[in-house]
Amino acid sequence: MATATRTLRKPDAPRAVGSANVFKEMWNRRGDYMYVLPALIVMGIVIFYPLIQVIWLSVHFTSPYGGPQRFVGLDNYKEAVQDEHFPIVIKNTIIWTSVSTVLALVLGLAAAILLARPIRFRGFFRSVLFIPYVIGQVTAAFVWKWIFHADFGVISGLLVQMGIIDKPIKFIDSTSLVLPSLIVVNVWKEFPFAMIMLLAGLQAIPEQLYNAAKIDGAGRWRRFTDVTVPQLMPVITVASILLIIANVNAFTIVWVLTGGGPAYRSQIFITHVYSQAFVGSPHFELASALGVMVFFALMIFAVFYVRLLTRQSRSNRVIQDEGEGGLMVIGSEPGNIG
Amino acid sequence: MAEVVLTDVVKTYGTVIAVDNVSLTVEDGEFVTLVGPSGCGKTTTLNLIAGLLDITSGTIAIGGRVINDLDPKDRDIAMVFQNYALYPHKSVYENLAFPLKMRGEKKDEIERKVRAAADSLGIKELLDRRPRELSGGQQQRVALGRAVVRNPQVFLMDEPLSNLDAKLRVQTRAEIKRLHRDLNATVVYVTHDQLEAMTMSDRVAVMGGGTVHQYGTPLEVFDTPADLFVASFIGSPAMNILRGTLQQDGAASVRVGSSRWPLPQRLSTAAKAMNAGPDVAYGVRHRDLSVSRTEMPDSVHGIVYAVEPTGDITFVHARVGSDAIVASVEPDVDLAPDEDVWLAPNLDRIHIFDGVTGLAIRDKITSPGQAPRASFASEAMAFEDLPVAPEVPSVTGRE
Repeated sequence: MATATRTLRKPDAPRAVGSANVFKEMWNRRGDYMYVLPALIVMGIVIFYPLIQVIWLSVHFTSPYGGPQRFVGLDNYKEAVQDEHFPIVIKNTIIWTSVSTVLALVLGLAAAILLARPIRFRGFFRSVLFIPYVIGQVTAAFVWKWIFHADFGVISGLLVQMGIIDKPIKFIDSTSLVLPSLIVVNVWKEFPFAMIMLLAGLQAIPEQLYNAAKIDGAGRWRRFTDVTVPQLMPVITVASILLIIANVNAFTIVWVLTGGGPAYRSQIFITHVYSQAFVGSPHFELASALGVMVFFALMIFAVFYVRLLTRQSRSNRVIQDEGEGGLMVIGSEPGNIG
Repeated sequence: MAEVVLTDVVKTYGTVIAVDNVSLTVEDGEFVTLVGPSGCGKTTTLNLIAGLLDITSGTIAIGGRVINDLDPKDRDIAMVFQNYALYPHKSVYENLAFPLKMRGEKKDEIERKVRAAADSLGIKELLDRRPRELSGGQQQRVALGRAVVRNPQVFLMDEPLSNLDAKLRVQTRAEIKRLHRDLNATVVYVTHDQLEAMTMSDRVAVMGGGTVHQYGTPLEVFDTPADLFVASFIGSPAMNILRGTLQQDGAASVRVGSSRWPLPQRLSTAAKAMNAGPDVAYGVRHRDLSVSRTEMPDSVHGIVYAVEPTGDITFVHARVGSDAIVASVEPDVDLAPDEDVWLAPNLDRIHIFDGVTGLAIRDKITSPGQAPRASFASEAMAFEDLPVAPEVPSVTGRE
């Protein structure tokens, strides 16, 4: 009898769902939720559990060797911030992130503009320029480690042979050159990402805008500043946010090439977190506190990103023509001649 | 303002010929439309005039000055695009001011001109808005304003109405026509819509396959199409075209399947003089076919296939042998599908075309343009009673 009633039930009429009704509604649709449950469980295990664990760790005193754990409030945060290396880590992170992001965008835009033109072997050049992005992080880092090598490095070698310099440059062993050198590697690795995004953006700009600008008398530069740049702005913004997030989180290149050295001159936030946790005497609680800080810092960018995307989809609304009065409209459109 | 002269203009892309030896003169202050189906080269021709494309050979002159190698900005033209091509990040004011700014005009001068143009187009309340905050019709006006504000020698318009809805299109059509008059401007207008071409233009260039098939006033291309292409392109519904063979024995006619379509002697003679035929195409517009339930002299039997009332005219689709024919009758005429009808073409308004070249076969004396149209011959009114004398001026009101 029960099954009969269920199968014969009429389809739900659409109705307004108040907040009190949400759970009832969810219960009514419990079958639907079963479909997304496996995904929710996996996400819970790999994302939410570690996140909660890190936040918990950041406000407790723990010893990696076991022993009692006690709640210490924000003490771990204080200690992490008061660390003698904290200022240089922050400084390095800001330089690393901002310079990498700007250079990757500029280089990516230049490459995109060149590749948007109908040049010969365009497909080939696109593929070649995209190679750095698809090479594995560790592989790329090791290749550059050899390129930068003080004794066997190809750059120093060539410059010495050509007589431009008389002794090899210590790229990653020098306190002043190490961060710029790493930024070069990072930009090389990630500019193709900006390039592809901007190329897609460039190709979406209507040709007629350029034609209109040509007829209006805009030269090459004005067409770039008055058509290309404003039209690309949404893509540039999205690409910048994604690059900033990626750069703050960039671990591999720095870690493989220098491990943050020499003398903390290439230590950035993420490598610093890792060092606190796993290098020397482990300080999981300090690492956790630092991890929570960077998590919330990046959340700000993530929020911008999401808001930007929703704003863009909202602005695609259509404006209707209100009948603008004036002339009387005679006859239907596909009108007949003759 | 100035005249635009195209001389033997050719544009090729590799081996593809987009514009093939087009020669065209647009008089000072004239409104000329390039009309044709997609891919006929009309937009390419317009872009050549604009300087957005490089010309392969030939010359284009504006106001007596050859402009082949000039940049678009130095040609003293303005263009209105199909998608308006307004700068989305600029306000309406900035959009209008942009061409003047590029010309290096003074700020207060720019302001004066922009306000004047906005005033004349009724968009002055919109000056602070962005294009995406405007309706299609308003964007269209801004696009026109951006052209008007420069006071160019020549306006080029590339399908400016095709993105508007039907009602607004009719209204804007009239406004552009009025604008042309008020500005006394030279306009080259591109459209695939023959109704736009016919209603707006002083002269129409019917293009197909990269060439101009006919260049004349709207009535010329309608009434005396130069070839089959023009005949079948201009007019809606399209002219009935029947492929058949010329019969010179006895009364002249064109044999299509088992039916004989009557032909005036003058056209038969003209065909002979031109050495055309025997393969010909017989053309007659729906208005020039009288429809009757009873057999009439010089009529062809058909069976009604469908009846389409439009309100002010009713289209009758009929089958004659294997051909589909469209005729028209007054709206009060009551015909039903599968009824037998007799179709009698108005002998003064028949067109025939050479079956091979497609060129019109025409006698020089009578132009079909001067002949009146036939109307429905109801059962009460015998066909013989209809006024068919070629000298009688038309009373149908269309001319």
